[in-house]
Amino acid sequence: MTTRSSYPAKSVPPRALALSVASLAVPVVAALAFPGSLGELGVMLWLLALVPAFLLAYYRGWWGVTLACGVGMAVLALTQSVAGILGRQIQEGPLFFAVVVIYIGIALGIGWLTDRLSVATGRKQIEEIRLRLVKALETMQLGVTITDTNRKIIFSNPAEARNHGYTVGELVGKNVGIFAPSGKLKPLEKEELKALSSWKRESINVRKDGSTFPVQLTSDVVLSASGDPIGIVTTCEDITERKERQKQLERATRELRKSHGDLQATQMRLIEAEKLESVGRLAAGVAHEVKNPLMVILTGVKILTQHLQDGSGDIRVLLDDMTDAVARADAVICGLLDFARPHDFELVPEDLNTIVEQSLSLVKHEMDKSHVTLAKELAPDLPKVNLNAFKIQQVLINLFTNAVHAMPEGGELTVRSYSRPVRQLASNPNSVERENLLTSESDVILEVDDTGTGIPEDKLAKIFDPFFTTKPTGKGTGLGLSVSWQIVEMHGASIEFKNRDEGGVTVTIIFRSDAGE
Amino acid sequence: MEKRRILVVDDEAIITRTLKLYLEGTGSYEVRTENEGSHALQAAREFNPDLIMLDLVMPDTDGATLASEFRGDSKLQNIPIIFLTALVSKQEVGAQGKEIGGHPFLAKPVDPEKVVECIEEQLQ
Ligand SMILES: Nc1ncnc2c1ncn2[C@@H]1O[C@H](COP(=O)(O)OP(=O)(O)OP(=O)(O)O)[C@@H](O)[C@H]1O
Ligand SMILES: [Mg+2]
Repeated sequence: MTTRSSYPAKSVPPRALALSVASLAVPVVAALAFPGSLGELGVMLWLLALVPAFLLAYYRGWWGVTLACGVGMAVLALTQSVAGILGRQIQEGPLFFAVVVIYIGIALGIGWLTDRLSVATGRKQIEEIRLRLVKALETMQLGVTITDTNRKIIFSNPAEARNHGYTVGELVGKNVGIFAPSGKLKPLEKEELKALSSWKRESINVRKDGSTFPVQLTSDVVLSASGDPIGIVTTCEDITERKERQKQLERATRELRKSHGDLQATQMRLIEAEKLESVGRLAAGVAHEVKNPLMVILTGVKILTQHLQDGSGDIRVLLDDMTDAVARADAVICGLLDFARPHDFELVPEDLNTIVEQSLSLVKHEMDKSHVTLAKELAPDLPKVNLNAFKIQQVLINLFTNAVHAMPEGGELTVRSYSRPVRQLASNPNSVERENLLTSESDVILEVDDTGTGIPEDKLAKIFDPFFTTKPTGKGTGLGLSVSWQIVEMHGASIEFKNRDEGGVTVTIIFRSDAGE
Repeated sequence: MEKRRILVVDDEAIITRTLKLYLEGTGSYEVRTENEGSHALQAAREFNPDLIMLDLVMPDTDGATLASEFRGDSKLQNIPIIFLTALVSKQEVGAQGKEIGGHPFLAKPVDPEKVVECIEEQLQ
């Protein structure tokens, strides 16, 4: 919206209007009271001239002239009426014109005086309006600055000065860039000024002491009556608090989202764990039915092998294959059985390093066979962790075996253990300062690095799925990691696979330990 | 050398039959089989075995209970026992020291050569 300066004297002064209308009434009344006295052509002409002049002046708002015409008409009518009553005709001769000129002179004089008077009244009114507006601007808490088109400050209200650490006196006459971090602002082109209508933006303003604060600015151009830009009004609101609240809200939202995500992840894990457990229960149910027949086949194969004549090589191969087939079927059933969560699953404080050493000794043969060297970086004085040694050993053996399988041409297996104190964030959402609280707990971390093939990124999400394997049939069941995942989960620990930049995989298992133990 | 006497108790006849065939095939053992857990004590008293192989889970009883019954019998209490089970995975057997109540423990399907190894160990 563009502001046009309006001129208050333009409104109609009611008294002048009333007076003019009243004076019109006089000749009418006189004409009615004394018919015939207004018949003369000269008088009619004067009236005819005065009436349009009156109307024109009234229409244009020339109140003095309106009044003059009104009074002129009234006086003319009055004299005519008086003359009519006295029965004299005065419209002839020089006297008549002299009288008319005097009348008009008096009327214009009155008009001029009235005009002067109304200008003076107008000025007073304008002054009062100005005072009220200035007071309003001074009282309001919103900063207001008015500049000329060169962006020189003509007016700033006390709120504006206060917000920026100045006094009003210091601001007037300065370039408005005094508030901007970039300094002096260039005058705007006329076209830019015209386009600048209700220009709202957020910005950063500078105080006198150099400190900055966020503001909401709204600018508008002031147009003269003829439509030319003559200045810019800008309101400036300090929005530090709003910004702070907004930040807090954003932080709260972020935290909410995160905990929602965590919750969903937990739910997924619970569902996953539940699924695995039912697989385990199912396996336990059929294990008996599968393992007894396998036993019979295996024993039968051995008996047949013993009865084999020399030279029946093909049959010997067949019987060996059958032995392998039995072993495979057994591996699957055993893998599934591992999902059955033992309800007396017992966790006792154990030294993780000891379990690592035991597990390594069990895969040593396999490692030597594949020319895999071992690097141990086990931290001494590792805090004890509540765990089931047998189950964790099962996990570690699977991790080591996987690593060895990923390095068929040899490589290096690194096993690393260390601990670090657990830091917890203070969970007071109101405190802006988040403190790090040291708890009595520590994380005990086990890392297994290999220099093998690594895992394609699109497969990473699948490695924990039951039966996911990339190994040739017979070499892997694909149950190793899903069982490991379940075991780690039951320990309240976490397991993560990452491809290493230098090739190979790092597996990280994080256990939580109470420092007291 | 005299043949050692082995009693094999398992509810599955196919198991006892094949094991008997294998063990007797080695020429070193005389095997008696029993498919009813509840008859095992009776069979043991009659047969007077040097070693007993017990299935851990049977429909009418379980191996651990039978073992304690043997232990309570003055004639049978010193006879070595080997458990067989279809219910655990090999890895579990490995980690629990291959023993239940002081007796060794084999998970089915087990290579019969391993069974012989285990028997020989126990008979020493
Ligand atoms: N260290 C590793 N490097 C490369 N690939 C790996 C590694 N560990 C696991 N994998 C991949 O994850 C798959 C699943 O592993 P998992 O241990 O579950 O099953 P498996 O080793 O194939 O079979 P199982 O362990 O049951 O014998 C593997 O087949 C392999 O593709
Ligand atoms: Mg594996």
